[in-house]
Amino acid sequence: MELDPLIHQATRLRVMALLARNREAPFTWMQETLGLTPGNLDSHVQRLVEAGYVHQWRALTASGFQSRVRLTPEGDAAYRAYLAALRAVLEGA
Amino acid sequence: MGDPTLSAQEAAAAIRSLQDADAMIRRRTAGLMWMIWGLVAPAIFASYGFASAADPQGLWWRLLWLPWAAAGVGATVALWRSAGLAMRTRERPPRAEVAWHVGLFVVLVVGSAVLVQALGAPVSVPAAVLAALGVASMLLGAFGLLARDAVERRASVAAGALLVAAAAACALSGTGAQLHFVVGALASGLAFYGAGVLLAMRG
Repeated sequence: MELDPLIHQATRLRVMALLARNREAPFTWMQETLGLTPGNLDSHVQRLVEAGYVHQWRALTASGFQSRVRLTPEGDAAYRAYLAALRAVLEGA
Repeated sequence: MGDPTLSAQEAAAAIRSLQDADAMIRRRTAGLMWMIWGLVAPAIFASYGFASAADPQGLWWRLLWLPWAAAGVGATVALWRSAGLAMRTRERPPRAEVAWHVGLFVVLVVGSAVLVQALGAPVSVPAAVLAALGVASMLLGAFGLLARDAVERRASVAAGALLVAAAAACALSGTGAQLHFVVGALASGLAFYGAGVLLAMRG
């Protein structure tokens, strides 16, 4: 099994792992949690948005508009497949 | 597009690191929860010691455990809610687990006291409460119930053993119940608060 090259990147992998556990999260919270600059996180999120793995939108909250990111069903399936492939690689090592 | 320098082991470690931080927060929060109940339990013993000495025939102090238990429940719930905010994976605080811990504590304290009085057993109420808390704590630790890892299991067994030893000392010494309330306060404080410090510091 081949590791999905889009997910198999240090930052995107952590983004996907975080969203897989939370399904949906505010962009600023992800940025603080992962210790990334807004530009760095945004560039990786956009790559995942283009692949259809995550969905990004602006939600109106009590404190104003907030950028949020959510794992799509396609992204969830891709992450699960990645974990299965990673497990196979580790067991074969 | 993938990162050829990222090994499979590094990828697995990156995923694990998000979960390990939560496990650490969870264990420290559990330690703080033990510390809270390490204050609540001695407060209950001490209150009953004072009340039963001041008014041995009174019935009003039978519900003295209630405000202490309510304070403990409030602090425990607030603590887990706060910890939930800090958890990176934003898992909900394990409400069922907290409910089991608190429920078991209240049922054991009240149940053993009521049982001893109803049966007229030849042991003092504080000794019976200590024994019930100690046996339950040892069993929970030994069988890994409500304990997340080996450290918490050992802490639970050690705390339980201390409580059972204190209960046995009370039962064998034949001294009055007033002294047993003092022993109960000291032993429960040392056992629960000590276990909590261990968990919170080693988390």
